[in-house]
Amino acid sequence: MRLITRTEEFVLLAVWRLQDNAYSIPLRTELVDLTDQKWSLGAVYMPLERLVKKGMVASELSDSTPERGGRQKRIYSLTRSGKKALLQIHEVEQRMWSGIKTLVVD
Amino acid sequence: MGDLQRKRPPRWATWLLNILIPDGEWKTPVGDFEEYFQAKRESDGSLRAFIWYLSAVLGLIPRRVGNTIYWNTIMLKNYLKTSYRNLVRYKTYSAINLLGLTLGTACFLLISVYVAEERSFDSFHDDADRIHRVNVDFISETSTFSNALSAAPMGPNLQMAASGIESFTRIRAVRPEALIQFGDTRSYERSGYYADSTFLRVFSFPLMQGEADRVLIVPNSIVLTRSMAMRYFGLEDPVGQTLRMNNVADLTVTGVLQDVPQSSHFQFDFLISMSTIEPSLTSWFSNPYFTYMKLGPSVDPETVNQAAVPLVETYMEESARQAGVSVRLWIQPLLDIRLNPQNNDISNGRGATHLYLLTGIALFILLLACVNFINLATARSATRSKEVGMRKVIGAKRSQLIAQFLGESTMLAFLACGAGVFVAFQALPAFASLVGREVEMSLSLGLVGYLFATGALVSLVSGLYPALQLSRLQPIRILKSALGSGGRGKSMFRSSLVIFQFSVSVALIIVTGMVYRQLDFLKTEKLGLTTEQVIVLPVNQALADRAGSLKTSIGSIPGVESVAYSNRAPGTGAYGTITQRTDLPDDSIIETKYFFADNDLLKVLDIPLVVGRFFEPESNSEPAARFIINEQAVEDLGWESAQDALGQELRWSGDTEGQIIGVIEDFHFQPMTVHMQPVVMQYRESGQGALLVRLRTDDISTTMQLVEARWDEVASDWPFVVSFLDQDYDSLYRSEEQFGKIFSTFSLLALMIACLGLFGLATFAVQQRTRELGIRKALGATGGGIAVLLSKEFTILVLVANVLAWPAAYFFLDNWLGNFPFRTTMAWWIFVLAGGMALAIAILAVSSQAIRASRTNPVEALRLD
Repeated sequence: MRLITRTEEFVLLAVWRLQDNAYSIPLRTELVDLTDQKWSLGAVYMPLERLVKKGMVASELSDSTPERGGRQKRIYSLTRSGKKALLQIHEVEQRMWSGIKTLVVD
Repeated sequence: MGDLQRKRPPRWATWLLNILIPDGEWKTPVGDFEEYFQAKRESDGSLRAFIWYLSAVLGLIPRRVGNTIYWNTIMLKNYLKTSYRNLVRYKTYSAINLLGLTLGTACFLLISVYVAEERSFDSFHDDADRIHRVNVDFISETSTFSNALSAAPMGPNLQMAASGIESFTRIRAVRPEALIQFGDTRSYERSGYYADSTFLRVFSFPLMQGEADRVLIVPNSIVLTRSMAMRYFGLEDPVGQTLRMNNVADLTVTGVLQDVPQSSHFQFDFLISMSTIEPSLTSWFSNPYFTYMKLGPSVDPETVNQAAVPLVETYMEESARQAGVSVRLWIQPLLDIRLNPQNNDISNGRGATHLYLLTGIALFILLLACVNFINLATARSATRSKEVGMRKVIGAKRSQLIAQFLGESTMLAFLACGAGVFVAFQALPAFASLVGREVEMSLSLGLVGYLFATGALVSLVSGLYPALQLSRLQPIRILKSALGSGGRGKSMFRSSLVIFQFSVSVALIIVTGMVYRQLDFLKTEKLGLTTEQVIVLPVNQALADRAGSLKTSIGSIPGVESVAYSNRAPGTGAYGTITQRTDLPDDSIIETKYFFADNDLLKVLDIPLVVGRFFEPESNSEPAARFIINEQAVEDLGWESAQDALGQELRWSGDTEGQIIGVIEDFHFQPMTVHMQPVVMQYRESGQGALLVRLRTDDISTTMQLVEARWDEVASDWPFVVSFLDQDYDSLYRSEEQFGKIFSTFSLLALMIACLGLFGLATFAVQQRTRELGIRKALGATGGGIAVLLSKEFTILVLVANVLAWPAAYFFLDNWLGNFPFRTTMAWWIFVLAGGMALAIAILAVSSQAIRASRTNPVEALRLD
C-alpha cells in the first residue's frame, strides 16, 4: 500500500464527505469544523496538489456562482486509488485499535 | 450593480492575484479567494474581508520574488561556471576575443574622449553660447571665401547698428614675432595679440592679478599669462614692471592671467592694449582683426546679421563691386569655431569632418573585434551544441539559453572594457602625440557610464547573433548525430564576415598608402624654387635700417653663395592687395599677392625667369615702379602669353603705376594645399622681412658660425634666429602628416584584429578536420598539400575582400584628393600592395595552423575516437 500523510488523509476524507460539493472553500470549512484547527486555503491546496499528482484525486470544472465573481468551481472527487488508499488506512487503523485494553488519560 | 461592485475585492488586487497564482490545471485560487472574501464579509464585515484579501494577496509577493531570485541565482551560478570553463578550456579563442575587444574598446575610448573634448572647446567661458565671432564672406560668381578675419570698424559699427550686442572685442596678432626683453632675458614671443580693453568682458579667462576692466586700457599695457610671467620675472611680482618690445617700445605689465586652457580655440602668451596701435576706423578692407562679440541674453544672432546688411551697403559695396565680389558679414557662434574653422582662422582645429572620420575608424575597429567574437562563437557552436541539447532536454526555455549566451558575451565584453580602459590610459601619451595635442582622461562618473554603455553595445552586437543561433539548435538532432555543426549556410555567414573584416583592413591600408603618397608628393613635388641650402634670418621692423649692412656683411662670408632680401620668407604666405591693368577698364581688377625683394632673390631661390629681366641694382634709382609678375598673374590679368605682358603697365594697390619688366615661373610661396596665386613683385633693397642666405655645400657648420658672428657684429641687440628653408617647407604639412600617422596606426590595428580572427578560425578549422587530415596523411598527402588545402578557402575570402575594398577606397580617395589643388595620381600598385599585404598576413596566420596540422602523426589524429 501507498502511505499518505495524515493531512492528506483528512483531505481525502473531506472530499468523500462532501461528495458533489467538494471544492476548496467547503473543503476548508469542513476541515476546520472536523479537526478544530486553523486551515488556510493554502493548507488545503498543498495536500490537494500532492494527491492530484499521486492520482488519488481527480477534478473537473463545474458551474460558476456570483459570489465567486463569476468564476467556475473545481469539484474534486476520489479516484479508484484514492478510495483504495482510504479503505486501506481505515483497515489498518481498525486493526491497530482492535483487541486492546481501553485507553484512558490518567 | 454599483452596490455589488463595492462588495467585491478591489480589481487591482484580483489582477495581481491572477498573476501571482493563476488558475491552474487542478486549482482555482482566484475564484476561491473571492468566495472566501464573500463569506468573510458576511460574518466579519466588509472591512475585515478587505483587509484579509489585501494581506493575503500582498503577502504572496515576497515569497514569489524570493523564489524567482533564488532559482535564477542558482542558474546564474551554473551559467558563470560554464562560461568560466569555456573561457579557460578554449584559451586561444578567449585570448583572441579578449585581445581584439580590448584593443577595440581602447581605441574607441580614446577617440571618444578626444572627440568629446573637441566638441566642448571654448565652453569654459561664461555665457559661451552668447559669444560670437564676426566673419566676412567674399562672394564671387564661382566661389565663396569665408574669412575669419575682419576689419577694425566692423565691431564698433555693428554694435551701434544692432541692438542686443552687450560688448565686442577685437584681437590682432602681434606680427612679426615680437622680441621681448627684461634684463638679461630676451626671446621672440610667438603668440601675442593686441586686444581691446573689453577683451575680458567678452571672454572669461581668469585674471590672477589686475582688474579685468582696467588692464588693457592704457597704451603700452601688457597682460601676461602665468607661465610667461614666470619666464621673465620668476618669483618677482610682474605687475608694474616694464618689458621692452622689439628694442623700441616699453610695455608696462598691468595684469597676469591664468594660462590659457588647452580647450580654447586660440592660444596666447600675452596681450597688449589695442590703444597701443590705434586701429584705423575707416579701412573696411584691411582685415587683420578677429572680432568677437557677446550678445545679450536671448538675442537672435540673425538680427545682428541683418543689421550688418546696411553697413556693408554703406561702406563696402562700392569697392567690392569694382573687385567683382559681394560682401556679407555674419556672426559664427563661439562654440562652433573649433568644429567649423573658416579661412585664415585663428583656430587650428581640423573641423568636424576630421572628427567624423576618426569616429568612423574607431567604430570600424570595434566592429571588427565584435566580428571576431561572432565568427568564433558560431564556428564553435558544434562544441557547445551538446550543452545546448542537454539544457533543452532538462527544460531550458529558448529565452533562457539566449540570456545565458548573451550573458557570456556580456561578461567578456565587460572584461575587455576593463582591460581597454587600462590600455587606453597606458596609450594616452602616444595617442596625444598622434592627434597633436594633449588629451585629458580621468576615471570620472561620465567615463564609467560611457564604458558601461560601450560594454553593453559590444556585448549585444557580438553576442546576439551567436546567442540566437546556438539557442535555435534542435535537441534531437544534436544528440542523435554527435556532430551538430552548422551546414553550408552558417559558414557562408562567417565567410561574409571575414570578407567584411578584410575589406575594411585593406581599404584602410590603401588609404594610408595614398595619404603618404600625397604627403610625399607635397614635399617633393617641384616647388618652382630650390629650398635646400637656404637659411632664413628674420628681420624685424626695428632692425630694418640695418638689414642692408647685415646683407653685405653676411654676403662677404666665403661659405655664403648669395644673400637676398624679401619682405616675406617663401613658405610663410604673402600679403595681398588689388592689381589692375591700366589699359583695361576697372573690371580687370584682381586680388594679387605681393613681394618686395632685391635683385638677388632669383639667384638665391633659383626661380627661373620666363621672359624679360629681373631687378637690377640700378632699379633702385629708377623713378617709376618696376614690376615682376608670375605666370599665374599673366593668365589672371588676361594676357595671352608672358611675352604679351612684358612692358605693359599695371596699377598696383590702387595708386602705384609701373611697367612689367619680367615674368617669372610660378613658385610655391604657400603650402601646396592651396591654389597657385598671382604674384606682383617690386624692388626694395632691404628692410623688414627676412634675409635668405644660400650656403655653399661644403662645411655648413663653420659657415653658420660665421653668419652668427656677423649678425652679432651688426645686431647684437637682436637674438640670432635661423631656420632652414627646406625644413620650414616640410613643417607646412604637419597636419597632413598627422592625418597619415593616424591612418597608419589605426589601419594596422584593424588588420591585426582581422588577422587574429582569421587565425582563430583557422585553428578551429584544423581542429574540426583533424580526422580528415589524419586520413589524408595516412593515404599519402604531403604536408604542403595539406597546407594548400587549408589556406585555399581563406585565400579566396581575402581575395574577394580585396575586390570589395578597392572601389570603396578609390571612391574615398578620389574625394579626398579632390581637396588638394596639387595632387598625386592614384597608384594602382598601392592597391595591389595593400591586397598582397593582407593576403600574405592572412596566409601566414592560416598556414601556421596548417603546418602544425600537417606535422602531426596521423595516428594521433585517428586515435581520438
